[in-house]
Amino acid sequence: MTFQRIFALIRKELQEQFSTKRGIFMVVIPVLIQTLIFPFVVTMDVTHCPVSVLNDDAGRHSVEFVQRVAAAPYISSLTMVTGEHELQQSLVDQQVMIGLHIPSDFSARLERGETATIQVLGDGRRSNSSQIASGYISSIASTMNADLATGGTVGLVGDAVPEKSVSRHLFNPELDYQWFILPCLFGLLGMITSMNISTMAVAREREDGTYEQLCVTPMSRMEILIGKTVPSTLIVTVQCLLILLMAVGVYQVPLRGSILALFCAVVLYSLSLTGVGFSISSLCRTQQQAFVGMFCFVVPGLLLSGFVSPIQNMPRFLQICSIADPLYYIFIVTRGIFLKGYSFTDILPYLGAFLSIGSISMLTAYSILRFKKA
Amino acid sequence: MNHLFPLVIKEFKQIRRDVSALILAFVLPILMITLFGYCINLDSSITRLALVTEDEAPVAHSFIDSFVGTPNFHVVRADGRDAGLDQLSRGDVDAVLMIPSDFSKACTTQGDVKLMLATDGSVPNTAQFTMLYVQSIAQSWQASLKSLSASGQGSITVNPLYLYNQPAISRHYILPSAIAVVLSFVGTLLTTMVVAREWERGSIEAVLASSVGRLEFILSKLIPYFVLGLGAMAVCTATAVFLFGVPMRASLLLVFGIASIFLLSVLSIGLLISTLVRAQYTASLIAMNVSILPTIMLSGFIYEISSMPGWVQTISCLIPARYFANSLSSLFLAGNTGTLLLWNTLFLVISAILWVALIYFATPKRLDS
Repeated sequence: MTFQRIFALIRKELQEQFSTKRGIFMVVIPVLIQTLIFPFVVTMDVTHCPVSVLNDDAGRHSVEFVQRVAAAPYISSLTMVTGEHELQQSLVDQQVMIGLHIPSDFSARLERGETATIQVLGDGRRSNSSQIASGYISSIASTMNADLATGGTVGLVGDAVPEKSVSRHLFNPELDYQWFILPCLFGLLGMITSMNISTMAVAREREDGTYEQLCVTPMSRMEILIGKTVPSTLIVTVQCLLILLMAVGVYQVPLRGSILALFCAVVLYSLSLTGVGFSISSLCRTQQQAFVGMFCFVVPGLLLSGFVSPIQNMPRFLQICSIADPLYYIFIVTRGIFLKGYSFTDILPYLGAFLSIGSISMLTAYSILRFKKA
Repeated sequence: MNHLFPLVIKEFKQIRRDVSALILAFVLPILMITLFGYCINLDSSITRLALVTEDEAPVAHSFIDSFVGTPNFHVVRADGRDAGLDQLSRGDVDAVLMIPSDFSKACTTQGDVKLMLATDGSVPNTAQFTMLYVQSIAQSWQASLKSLSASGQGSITVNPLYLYNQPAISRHYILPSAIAVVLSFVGTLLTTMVVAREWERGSIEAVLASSVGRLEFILSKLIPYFVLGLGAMAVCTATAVFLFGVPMRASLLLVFGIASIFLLSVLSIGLLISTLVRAQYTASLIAMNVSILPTIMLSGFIYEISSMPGWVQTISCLIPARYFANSLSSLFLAGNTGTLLLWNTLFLVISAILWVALIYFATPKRLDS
C-alpha cells in the first residue's frame, strides 16, 4: 500500500466530480434545496384547521361554544352548515378537517347540570390530523367546563385550566420542529450523497470498462477501495459543513455539544455508508443494478431510522433490524450534539457502531471484489 | 408509427436480460409496502417513562399504578432526579415524571398538586404526545379521586367519530398514501437510467441516425415501463388489501385508471431527468434528490400540507404524488367521492401533459443539439 497511488486515485475521483460545473452543482444544489425547503415542511402541528359546525341548539351555551371554537388560535375558518348532509359533504370534499355537531338539547342539559355531548366528525383519510384537531376541540370544551364550574360566564377564550402539573420540554422548550429537522439533515443528505457516490463507483467503472484498467494497475483491491472512499467522505463532509452553516447561521439552532464530535460522527457515518455502498456496488454489473440496489437500502434505512415514526412502536423484529442502520445512530448523534450537548465521550458507542458497520461492509466488498472476476 | 412496435420489443428484451428492472417493479413494492405498514404506526405509541418518587405514601402508589397499568407506558424507576434526567439525555426514556415529597399531603388536603414532567424536546412530536398522555392520565386519576360528578355542575364531553376509518387506524390511511409514494419511486427509478444509458453507451447515435421520430422514441421508452408500473401498482394494492386489511371501497377500474395517469407523470419525470442529464451517475443522484426525499416530505403523506407555509404548498403542487396520495386514500377508504376526486384527477392530467410535453421538447433530434 502506498499513499502515492491512493492519492492519485483520490485526485482522479475528485477531478471527475469537480471538473465540470454540473459536478459542483450536484454537490451544492441538494444542500440548498434541503436546507431551504425541508425545515418548513416538517411539522406535525395542525396550524390551519378549517371547521364546519352544525348547531341544532339555539341556547346561549352552544353560541358561546361556537364563539370559543371560532376564536381558538389553530382554527383557520369556521363554516356554519344547516343540515347533516351538508356537514358530511364538507368533510367528504375535504373543505374542512373536522365537523362539529351540537345537539338540540345541548344548552338545556347544561342548564340542568347534566352532561352534554358534542359530536366531532373527523376525516378518517387523514385521521392523524383530525385526531389532533379533535384534541383542540376537547381542550376548548374542558376550558369551558372549568369556566362553568367556577360560575364564570364568558371567560377569556384560550384560558387554560389551572395547571396541576408542570411540564417542561427539555433541550427544545418551544418544541421547534426546525431544531429537530436541521440536525436530521446531516443524516439524510449524507446518506444520499455517500450512497450514491459509493454505489455507483465500482459499477460505473465496470460498465465503462475502466475497471479492468484499474485492475491491471499495481493498485491492490484495498487501495482501490480506500481511494474511492476518501473522496466520497470528503464531499459529504463539505456538504455537512454547508448544513452546519445554515443550521447555526440562518435557523439559529443551538449547537450545544462539541463540534469536533460532530465532525468525527459525520466522517465515520459517511464511511459506514460508503462501505454499504461498496458491498452493493461490488455485486452489480451495471449502474442500473447498482441504482436499484442502492434503493433497496435507502428506503428501509430511512423507515427503520425512527425519523418518520418512533422505533419503539415497531414490531420487535424490525427494531432489531435498525441496529444495522447507520441512519438510526446518526439521528441520535446529531440531535444529541446540537440539542443535548453531547460530548465526544457521549457519542463513543455510536462511533463504534459506525466503525463496525463500515468495517464489516468494507470487508464484504473487499472479499467480493477479490474473488469475483472483473 | 411502424417503428414503435419493434422498439418496444427491444426494450422488453433489455428488461428481461437485466433482472433489476423486474425486481424494482415487482419485488421492491412488496417489501416497501410491508415496511411502511409495519414501521409507521402513529396510534399505539409506547412511551418509556422514568419515574422519580420522593413520596412513598399509598396515594402516590395508587397514582403510579395508573401508569404501570397502562399498556402505553413502559415505566422504569429512577433513583433521584439527576439519574432520571440522565436517562432522558441518553435517550433511554422519552420522559421523566417526578412526584414530589409533599404529593400525598397535597392530595389529601386538596392543595395544589405539583407534578414535574420533563420530556425530550429533541423529538418534538413524541414530546408533545407524551405530555398529553401523561396529563390525561393524571387528570383522570384526579377525577377518580375527587369524583367530580358530585358537584352537580353540567359539563361538556366531546365524542369523536372518524368517517371512513372509524377506529382511526393510522395504517389504514397511511398505506394508500404509501402506495402513491412507492409507485412514485418505482415509476421515476424505472425510467431514470434508460435514456442516459443510451447516451453513455453511444447507442443513441444509432437511434438518431434512424428514421425513428421523437414521439416514437419517447413512447418506446414509456410503454414498457408503464406496463411494469401497472404491475407494481397491482402488487402494492394486493399487499395493502390482503396483508394489512385496508378496505377497498372503489372500483378497481377507477383505481387503476387514475394510477395510469399518475404513472405517466412519474415515468416522464424519470425520463426527463435521463434525457437532460445523459449520464447515469448524475441522473441517479438527481433522481434521489428530486424524487425520493421531496416525495416523502411533500406528498402530505406524513406531514400535513395545510400546516406548511404558502410557498412550500405551491412547491408541493409540482409533486404529482400529492394528488395521487389524496385520491388513493379517498378511493380506498371512502369510495368514489365525486368533486374531490375530479379535482385530483384534473391536476394529475395536467401534470402528465406537462411532463410529457417537457420530454418531447427535451429530446434532441440531432446529436449536436
